[in-house]
Amino acid sequence: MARGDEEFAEFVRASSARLTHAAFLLTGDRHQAEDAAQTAFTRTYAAWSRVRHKDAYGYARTVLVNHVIDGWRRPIREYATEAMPERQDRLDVDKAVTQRAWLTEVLRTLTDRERAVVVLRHFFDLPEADVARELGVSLGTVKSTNSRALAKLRVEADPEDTLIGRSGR
Amino acid sequence: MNDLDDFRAALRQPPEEPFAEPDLARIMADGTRLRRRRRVLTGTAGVAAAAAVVLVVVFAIQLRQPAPAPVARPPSPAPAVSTTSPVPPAEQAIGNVVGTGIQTRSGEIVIFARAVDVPKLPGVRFGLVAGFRSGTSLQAVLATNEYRGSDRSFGFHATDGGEVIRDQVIPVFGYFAGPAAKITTVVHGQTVEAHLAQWTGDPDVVIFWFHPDAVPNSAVLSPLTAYDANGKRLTK
Repeated sequence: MARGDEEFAEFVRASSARLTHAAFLLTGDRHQAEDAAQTAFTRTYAAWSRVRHKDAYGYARTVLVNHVIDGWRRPIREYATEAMPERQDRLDVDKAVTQRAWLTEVLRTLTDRERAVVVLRHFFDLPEADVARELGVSLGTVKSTNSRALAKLRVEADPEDTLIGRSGR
Repeated sequence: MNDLDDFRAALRQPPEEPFAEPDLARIMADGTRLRRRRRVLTGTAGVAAAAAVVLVVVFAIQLRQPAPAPVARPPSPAPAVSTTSPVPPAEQAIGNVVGTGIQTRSGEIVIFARAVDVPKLPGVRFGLVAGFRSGTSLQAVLATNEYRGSDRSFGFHATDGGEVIRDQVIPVFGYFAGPAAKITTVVHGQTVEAHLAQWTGDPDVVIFWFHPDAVPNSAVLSPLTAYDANGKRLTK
C-alpha cells in the first residue's frame, strides 16, 4: 500500500467513529449515517493528495455535513413539529439508554438547519463563526438558530449561545 | 455541570452498538474512480506562464493532437517534461472558447473543448478544459471528460472543478448533451442556476459553469437538474 494510502487508512480508522456518529445525529438513521460517512471518506480520498497535509478532518466533516444537508434537498424547514417528547428530569450518564432515546427523539423535533447547527456547534464544538462559514449562513443566523434550537430542546444555554437576534433565517 | 454541558455530553455519548466500519477497499476504489475523471494539467516551474504544460495523468490517457482550430497558440511554447505521457501540444480548442468573465492574474477563466482519443473510450471524442485566456493564448488548468459510454449520450457529462488550482478557484463546470436551457443545483438549501453557453462544436451540447461565489466547491453540489426552454425537467 502506498504511503498516502496508509495515511488515509489511518485517518479513516481514527475519524470514522466520530464522523459516523455526527452523521447519525444529523440523519437519525444508522444506515443513512454509515452511507454518508462512506461517501464523505470516498470524496476525501479522491482529494487526499490535496488535503492530507492540511485539515483532512475538517475537509471530511465539511463534505459529510454538506452531503447530508443537500440530501435533504428541500428548503430549510423552520418547525418540523410542535410536539416535544417529555424530558427526563436531568440528563444522567448512568441512564445512558434512556438518554440516547431521549436525544434521538428530541433531535427529530428540530428543523434541518437547527439540527445542523446543533451538531456543528455542540458535537464538533466549532465556534459560531465556523458554523456560519460551513453552512453558508450569517453569524447572526447561527446564533439565533442555535438559541432557538436549545430553547426547543429545553437546554439552558451558555451566555455565548444566547439569542442575539430575532431573525432566524 | 450546567444543562448545556449535559446536552453536549449526551450528544457525544457513544452509540449502544458501534457503527459499521467504513469499507476501506470500496472507499479507495470509488475514490480512485472519482479521481480518474480528471486530469490536472500543471505547468513546469518557471514556465507556467508560457504555454507549455505538463500533463499529470492519473489515468493513463493520451490525447490526440486536435485539428487546427481558430485559437491562437500561446507564444514561445517551451519544451516540457511529462512524467507519464507525451507533452500535449499548445492548447487548441474545438469550437468556441467560453469566457466566464472571471478575471485572474493569469487571465480570464475560460472553458473550451479539446479532442480526446483513448482506445479504451471509443465513445469519447472530446473533453472539456478549464483554463486561462490571456490575450490570444490559452493555458489549460483542469481537463475532464466522460469516462463511460458515449460523450454525447443524453444528460450531464464531465462535471468537475470547484477547487483551487494555482491559487485560483476553478468553477464547477461540465456539459449537458441535450436541449438544456437552464441548469440548477442546490447548495445549502438554495437553488443556484448555472451559466450556460452553446458549444459550436455540436449544437446539442451545452457547456455550463457555476460562479464560485454561488458554488464554492464541488463538495456542496447536489445532483444537477436540467430544464428545457419550456421549463420542463430533462433529468430526474
